[in-house]
Amino acid sequence: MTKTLTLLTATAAVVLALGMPALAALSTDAGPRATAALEATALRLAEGDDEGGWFRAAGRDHDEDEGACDDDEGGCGAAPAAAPAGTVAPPKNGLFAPGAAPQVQTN
Amino acid sequence: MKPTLAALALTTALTVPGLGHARPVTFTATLNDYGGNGAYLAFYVTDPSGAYVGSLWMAGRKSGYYQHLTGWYQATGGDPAQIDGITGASVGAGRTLKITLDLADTLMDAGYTLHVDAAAENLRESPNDVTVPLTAAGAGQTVAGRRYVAAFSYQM
Repeated sequence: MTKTLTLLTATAAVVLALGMPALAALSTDAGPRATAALEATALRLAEGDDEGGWFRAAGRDHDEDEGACDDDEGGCGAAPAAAPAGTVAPPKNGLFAPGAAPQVQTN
Repeated sequence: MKPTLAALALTTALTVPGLGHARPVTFTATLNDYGGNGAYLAFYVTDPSGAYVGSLWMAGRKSGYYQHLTGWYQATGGDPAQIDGITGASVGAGRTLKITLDLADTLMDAGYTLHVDAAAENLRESPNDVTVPLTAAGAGQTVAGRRYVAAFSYQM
């Protein structure tokens, strides 16, 4: 009986030691973020499948951050990258005045 | 003296109409704070029949992502020659992109439509996020996009 009580007490102590910090973190900082993430996921799922999404392109998609598909090197079967603005004249598609370079600004 | 004046008159007569055929147009697009990575935006024009005429700007440099700008991609097949010299960086959430281009006068009030397709990583594609007729009367008017573009306008 004494042995059982000792074992029970030890188990409860371990559970409290491990579980309480996790519960505390969940109920303070991580709680709102976890809730927001769940809401965002639910919102995306609720938007329906009428339009495609970047995430649906598994297998033909590329990770820009990890450089898995470097278009500058013609990787992943993608078309070569277009010339950046300022390096060549705009295309002669009848929309632009000849020789005029675009001016771009991002705030 | 007379040949010089004649030459001057001739070159002026040829140059002035050419200058009148284009005008600077500034497009301004402010994105929603959608909470994702930088958005790719394709600006392109269709004629009165809805046929693709040409591109005005591509925000985003990785051609592998262009397939997500579905309207533009269907019209061009992703041809990089369509956007040579008119390609820049993608646009972050909540940021404002302002582009000034010297555009042909014939685009205005002639039934042409400007389209802006948008897409961002791990989020929905949005073809025709903005569609506006190119008219003198429409200049200065702000419109809202469907998903990514919070406000769009053009000024002449």
